[in-house]
Amino acid sequence: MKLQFVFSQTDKRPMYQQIMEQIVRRITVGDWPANTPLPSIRQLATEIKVSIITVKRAYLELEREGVIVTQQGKGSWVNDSLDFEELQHDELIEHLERVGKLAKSLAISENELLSMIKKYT
Amino acid sequence: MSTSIIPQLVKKDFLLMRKVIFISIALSIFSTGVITQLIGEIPDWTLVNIGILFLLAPVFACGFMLMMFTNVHEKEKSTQPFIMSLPVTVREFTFAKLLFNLSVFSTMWVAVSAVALYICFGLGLFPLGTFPFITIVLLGIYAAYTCGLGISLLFQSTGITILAMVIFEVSTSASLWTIAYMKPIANHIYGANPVWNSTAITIVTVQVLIVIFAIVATLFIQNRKRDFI
Amino acid sequence: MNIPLAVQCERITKQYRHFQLQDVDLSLEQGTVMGLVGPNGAGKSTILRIIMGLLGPDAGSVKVLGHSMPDHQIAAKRNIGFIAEDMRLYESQTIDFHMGFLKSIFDSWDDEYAATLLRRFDLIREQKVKGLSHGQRVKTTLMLALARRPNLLVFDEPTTGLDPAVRKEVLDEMMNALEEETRSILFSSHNTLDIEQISDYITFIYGGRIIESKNKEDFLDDWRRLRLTNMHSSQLPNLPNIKDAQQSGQLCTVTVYDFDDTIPKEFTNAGLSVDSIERLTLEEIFLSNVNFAKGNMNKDLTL
Repeated sequence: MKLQFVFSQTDKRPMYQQIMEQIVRRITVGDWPANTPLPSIRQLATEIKVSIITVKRAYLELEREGVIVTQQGKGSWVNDSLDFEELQHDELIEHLERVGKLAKSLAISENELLSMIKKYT
Repeated sequence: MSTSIIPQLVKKDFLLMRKVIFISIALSIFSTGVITQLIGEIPDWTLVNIGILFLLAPVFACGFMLMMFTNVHEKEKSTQPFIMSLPVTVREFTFAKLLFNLSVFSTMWVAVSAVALYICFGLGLFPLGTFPFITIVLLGIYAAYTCGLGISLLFQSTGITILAMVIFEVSTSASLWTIAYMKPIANHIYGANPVWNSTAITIVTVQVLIVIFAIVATLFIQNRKRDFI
Repeated sequence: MNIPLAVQCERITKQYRHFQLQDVDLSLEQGTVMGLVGPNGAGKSTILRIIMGLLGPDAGSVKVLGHSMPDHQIAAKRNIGFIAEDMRLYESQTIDFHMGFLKSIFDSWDDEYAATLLRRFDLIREQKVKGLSHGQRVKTTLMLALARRPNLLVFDEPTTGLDPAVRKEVLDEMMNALEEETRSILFSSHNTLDIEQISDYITFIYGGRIIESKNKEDFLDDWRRLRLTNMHSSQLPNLPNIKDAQQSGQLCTVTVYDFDDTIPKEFTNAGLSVDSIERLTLEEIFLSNVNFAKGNMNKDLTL
């Protein structure tokens, strides 16, 4: 499978998190259903042209979060006892945290923020 | 398992210098033709002077250009790191350069010397008594070349090499003129038989030693260089 | 399983008239990529040339692919592809000449891979080197180094002076080379983005010394920028972690090294409020290190 990961240079988050997000996104929309084998760390690294150690970290974190399962010598695959809802829930929280940061830097009060949320969703 | 890459280095230099070598050979053949036409037309001593010049000039020029393009340019045109990143030591690199330059020059020098000797003695232009002196002249040119070659490798600098070659050329000419008028040599130049007296033998020995020394010293000094680019 | 390190330098010292390499230790595991970062004249090129056996150290030992240099340099160099900024090819000759030359030397020369690279890089075999642009020359040198399939790539500033398109081609091909598990890359660059993107390990050099040598993720994890509001004009806590501090009115920006979660608390305890904690890019870390090394510290910030 051609991976086509797209990274934004203006995204301030560390690269391993961006990789994790792209993997999680593919899982949540159903492109990578349960038990889908992930490309090997080396394969993914050479394909997206990012250092092996960064991909390794992404996989490690994903395993810690229970999104993927890794077995020594066998590789990694999408966890089958995955709660998609929980994943999407986590993604929502991430987005909200970002919203909160932006609002703070713009000095938008909580009430203003709430009415904006009502207006724009 | 480790086979040396000296043959490939020599072949590489030969390929790079093909044109220069062929043009020099062509010029040598051309000048041989010119010289043979002039036999009998002009005084013999003049012929020798011009002849030696005409015959040896292409050879000397070839030798000079070869050492410039293969030794000096390797450093000045920055191709040396490329070569030294290959599986080769400084010693092998130097050896390959000496091997290439000396074999091309020696071949041409032997050929041209044979022609010169034939013209002088085979055609009977000069008595055999002149033979030791002609030998000294031919060896003198070889010795000057070898010294220049060593300098070109040790310094790899256009300025220094040219300066060295000029110095060697001039001192060779000067010493040859001096030798021609030295009593032990001058006395026998027009003799019917070649006289190898102690003076002649000493001079030839010194010339051969200079050649050997130049080659050995170059190899020795090069091997001691630890910083090679 | 005991795999020898791809590169092992111990206590390398080299003295020049105006510059000195001091006690440089450098280790590169096989199968990894290490980026050497440092300002001009810090010693990156010197170290790489010592590793290649082109320069002899005054003291210290060098082992490359298990072979000690310079004694076994022939064996080592059979397996190393080298690129340097001041390295040139034979201008009057074609790319094909150089390919033939290397093929006659290396059994490991891969004709097919060379042809693939020529296509990928858009190079014409029969073209003379003197007709090539700078970018094309770099790509040619890269092709010549890669087609031999060496175990170790030593590249001194491979992307310097290249336009973004060619730079990407070079980086992409360097990463492609890592498909082979045993292949290692050691490269130097000014361009911190390149280093940040493909390095597994980063070694930072300044003034002839190794300042830091670490796994990239840890390196980037160690540093943070804290944006603080100093409403009560308190003094900053006296932490050794502070590498730099800038104050403008009530706003304060502090660059912190060796970050852990307890550090923001130190600031709040000192009476400042932490507005945000940001990660730094490699370039910012690099500049901060250089500034710090130059003795540019600004810690004393009471009104």
